[in-house]
Amino acid sequence: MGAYKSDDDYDYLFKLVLIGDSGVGKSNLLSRFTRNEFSIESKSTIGVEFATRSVHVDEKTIKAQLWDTAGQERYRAITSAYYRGAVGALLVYDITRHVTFENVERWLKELRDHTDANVVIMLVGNKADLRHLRAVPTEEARSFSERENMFFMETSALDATNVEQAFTHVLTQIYRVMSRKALDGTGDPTSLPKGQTIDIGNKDDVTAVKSSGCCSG
Amino acid sequence: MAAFINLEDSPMFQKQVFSLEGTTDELKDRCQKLYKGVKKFMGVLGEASTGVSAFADSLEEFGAGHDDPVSVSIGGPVLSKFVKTLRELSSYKEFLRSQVEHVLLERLTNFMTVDLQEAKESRRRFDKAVHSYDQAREKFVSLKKNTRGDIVAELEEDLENSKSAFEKSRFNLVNSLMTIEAKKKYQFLESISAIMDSHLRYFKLGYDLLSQLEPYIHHVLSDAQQSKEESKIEQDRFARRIQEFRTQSELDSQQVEPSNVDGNHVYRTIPYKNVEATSLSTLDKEVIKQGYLLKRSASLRADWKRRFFVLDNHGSLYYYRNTGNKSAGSQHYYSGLGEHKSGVFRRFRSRHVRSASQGSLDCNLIDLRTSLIKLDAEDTDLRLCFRIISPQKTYTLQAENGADRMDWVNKLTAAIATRLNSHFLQQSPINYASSGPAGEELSLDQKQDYNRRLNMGDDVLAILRGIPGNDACAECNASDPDWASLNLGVLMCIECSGVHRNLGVHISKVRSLTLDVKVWEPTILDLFRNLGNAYCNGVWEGLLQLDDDCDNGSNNKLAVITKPSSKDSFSLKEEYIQAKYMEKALVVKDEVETKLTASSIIWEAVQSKNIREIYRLIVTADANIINTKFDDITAVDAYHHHVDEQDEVKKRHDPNACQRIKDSRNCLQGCSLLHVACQSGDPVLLELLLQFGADINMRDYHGRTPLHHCIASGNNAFAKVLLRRGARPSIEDGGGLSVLERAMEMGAIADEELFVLLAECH
Repeated sequence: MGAYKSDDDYDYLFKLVLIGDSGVGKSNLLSRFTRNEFSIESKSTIGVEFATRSVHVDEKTIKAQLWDTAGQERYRAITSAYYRGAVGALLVYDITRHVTFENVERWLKELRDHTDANVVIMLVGNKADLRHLRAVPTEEARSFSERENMFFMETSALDATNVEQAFTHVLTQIYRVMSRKALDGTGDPTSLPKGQTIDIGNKDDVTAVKSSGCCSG
Repeated sequence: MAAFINLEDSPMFQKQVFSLEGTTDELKDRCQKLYKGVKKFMGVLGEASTGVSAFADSLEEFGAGHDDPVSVSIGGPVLSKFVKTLRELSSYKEFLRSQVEHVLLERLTNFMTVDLQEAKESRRRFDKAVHSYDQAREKFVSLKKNTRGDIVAELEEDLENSKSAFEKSRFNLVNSLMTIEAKKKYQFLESISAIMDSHLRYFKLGYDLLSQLEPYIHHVLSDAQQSKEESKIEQDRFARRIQEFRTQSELDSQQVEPSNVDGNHVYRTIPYKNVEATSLSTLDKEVIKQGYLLKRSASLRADWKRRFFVLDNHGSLYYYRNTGNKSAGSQHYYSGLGEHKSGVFRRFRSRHVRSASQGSLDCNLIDLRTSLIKLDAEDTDLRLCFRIISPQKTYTLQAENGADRMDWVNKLTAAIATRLNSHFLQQSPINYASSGPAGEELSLDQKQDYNRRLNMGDDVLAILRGIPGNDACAECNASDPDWASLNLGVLMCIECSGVHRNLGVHISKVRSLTLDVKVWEPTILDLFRNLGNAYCNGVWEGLLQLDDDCDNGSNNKLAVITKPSSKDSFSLKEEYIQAKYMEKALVVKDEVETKLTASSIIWEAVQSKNIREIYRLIVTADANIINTKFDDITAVDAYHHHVDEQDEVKKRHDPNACQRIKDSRNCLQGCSLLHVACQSGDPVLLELLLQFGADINMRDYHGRTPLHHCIASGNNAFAKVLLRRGARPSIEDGGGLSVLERAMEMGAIADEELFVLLAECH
């Protein structure tokens, strides 16, 4: 219960899910982002894990509610509950294992089957620190992500490269489309692949939009 | 070769050449014979190879598939291994054949076409050269002395030329002969020994392959032997069963009584026990009765068809039609009788009939729950008839003899009664009614679950009957009760269960020990173990027992209430049970009991997990004390932390702001008995309170439901129980967070089932 202290106060709450094959480093990305921790011998995730962290965008507090589950089996009982209400997703693969990149397509299908069409997705090539073992060229992943209208970034949960940026970027994008700033073009156009505008739909679609004060504590 | 020491042209040389040529010709003959032999051999080898592979193919087609049931039944997986081996063997044969071809046949052909031919050619050229040399010599020798010098010179030159050509072809001939001489010394040996070697390798490969397979083959053989013996035993057993069946049916036919035409009331006298007794033995789908009945078809012709009917202990009645051959001539006999009434049956045409006549065994389920049994045929004066009338359809059936008819009618009536009983109020019935007789539509999980429960079935009965007082009905002392009231914790007979049912669920929740397989969870069994007929009646019939103790008949009211026996009429039992549970007329009430004291006593009892005491208190209390709150028994102000006046209302209720929760994870303000039970960790206590209707979504001072408490204390098992019993996870506590959000705060939900239950309703 002491897991979070004063982050009750927020303007927006976004649910983000982490998906990708087993062992690509989802849980470590999560722990790096929320607690700045990395565990070299982490175990496989059991059930569903949650973490939160708040970030500030345009003087607004955005609380990210991150959901993480084991990548071993798909199409399980929890699938629909897991994706329900997610507005963003980090689709993680391991740059040293090409097969995890090949499976991205299937994960993407599952994600799109279970979420709103406008969900903001970032393709994340994790374990970028293992340069000498690279099996997925950056360009291959980048062009794939552009084809699929995803953002793309290579990260390393181990040395913390790009982890913060990946999460923040997704959250910012969700916020932008949410607050409709993306529509008038003032938002950074280069950050959107092919200059496309992602419309997240009605505000009601988003898990919970809270205005400050309703639950001051 | 030593023969040709002298290479000069001489008769000896000529002779030698001749003799060599002779042997060469001889050799050629033999080579041709050998060639034929080799050709034949190769043909045989090739045929053998294709033959083996054809055999392997047919074997595979026969049954090496892993998927289709026919293959599996004849040992497909084993065969496929053999097929593979046979293919290997075939390829070895093919290899041997190609070896023979390359090593022997080709070389032989080469020898014959190149070397022997060369010798022949040389011979021809030599003969030609001899001829021209002879001519040239003739010419030269026949020159006269006066011949001109230039002609002499010309002829001499010719002679020289032809002589050298002769010499050349002579050496050629010798050379080719010598080549043959040389080659025959090694070529044949080499080729043939190579062939022998490849034979050796062929058999070696085959041996290796098969010797690897050897243990497996022996294993399969012994397996086959074993199955042979088993099937023999099975056959014997089957033969014996046939024999038994025949003697049994002979016995039965001797016992046939004359049919009872006026049988409308006969079946009432036959107790339900008949059916119960059969269904008690196991909870498995067991056939209560099965056999052929004549069924009047719903079609226009209304003819009679012989159908195989099966009634199982789950109260499902279904019938099979014999497909293919038209059975029994009897239907023609009856068809005439039915025909003139065809109009009556027109409206009973059913989809069952139309969906018929597929290749497989067709099966129709009759819904017994809403059916009625009538002991006559609709305006038919046929004997041995009865009808099953359901809202959708009326089945007019005819048994083959009177006893059979009565048996069917009794069993069907009993089955309908049990079906109705078990269905009534059952919250999660097994879907056997809709899933067909064999339960094919149950998912695998359900099936496993089901099977687990089946195994438990006998235990359930044994456990419940073994509890003190549970060997007899709690109301009328009838022996072997197989019905129970879940919340009252008592066992009773089927008749009394009917009365209980009429009391309403708020008083008694009736379930069958044998037919309601899903309700008998371990916690419910534990609850019953804690109670039992003896104890419960001690509470409910307290005055009666008091009365027995001091038998002076002082209490007039009691004089009119006496406990019925199993032989008493239904109405007597009904009267008694209503007085006992609705009016609580026999309960000993504590004299000075206000609501406050009752509440505090039950609170203590819950805290000390005293199941019997809680039960007694709930029964004896005048008011409903099941939803007692902590605040009812304590002055709250004295208990709870001070609340600053300025504090917002919201914050006051936020559990995060409560010092008690922070310190001991426990704040009792506003808690109900159920909250306490959840913290106690005693599943039986929880069960008891839920059975007596404790409000599952009651919120404490901090707005937390019992489910919130369970999640906060990590008691996932209880959380799941509560969720399955209707706890709503969407209720927000004083801090504005639902149960799922509270669980998320704690970092993870390791139990996926719990996660789904929580998320589902979110």
